[in-house]
Amino acid sequence: MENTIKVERAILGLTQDDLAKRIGVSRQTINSIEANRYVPSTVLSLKLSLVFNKPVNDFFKLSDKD
Amino acid sequence: MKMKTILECERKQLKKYENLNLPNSYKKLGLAIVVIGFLSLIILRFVEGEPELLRDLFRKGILVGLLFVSISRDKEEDELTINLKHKSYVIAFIFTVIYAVVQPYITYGIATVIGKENKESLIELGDFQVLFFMLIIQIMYYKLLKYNR
Repeated sequence: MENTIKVERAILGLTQDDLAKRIGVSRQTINSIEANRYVPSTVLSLKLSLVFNKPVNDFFKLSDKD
Repeated sequence: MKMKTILECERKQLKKYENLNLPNSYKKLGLAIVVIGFLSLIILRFVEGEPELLRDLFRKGILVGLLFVSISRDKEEDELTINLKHKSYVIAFIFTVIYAVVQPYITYGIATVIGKENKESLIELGDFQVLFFMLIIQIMYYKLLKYNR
């Protein structure tokens, strides 16, 4: 799974800490998701979708490995 | 009782044990119990006769303390840390089984090399040794995973 959360975050001018607080997780979790070390749950993905005001498919993409 | 109702009851019971954890304050309490347990075991070494019952009690105390540390919530807990905790339990379980199977023979081998007598008694692993190893591996592996998240 690949994502463009870092880009979406930059568009909104949010820091990792800001985004973490908005969706109720730690800054390290956002960092792990951005680095593709952790695939978030559906609930967390939908929370991100609400913050970015975009469908999940716009910032999460399946990679060749999936 | 209908089959559907039985299944529903079973699901509810299982759900109850899914999130078995303690508040964060239990982490410090657990650590305190472990430290007191260890210190008491050291002091007990110097007591004449070394009472077996007390020694067993302190050992159990250490295990309970470690369990408190293991299942108490983190200050900052989210789905990633819960996920890492689950991974650490799996690793601890696998390592403990390997430890319980292999360790006695390693001890026996070393005892043979250094020419120690009464080697057969070394093959037996106590419940404290196994559970202590499992809890320590879980706690340490979880810390390691959290550090590298």
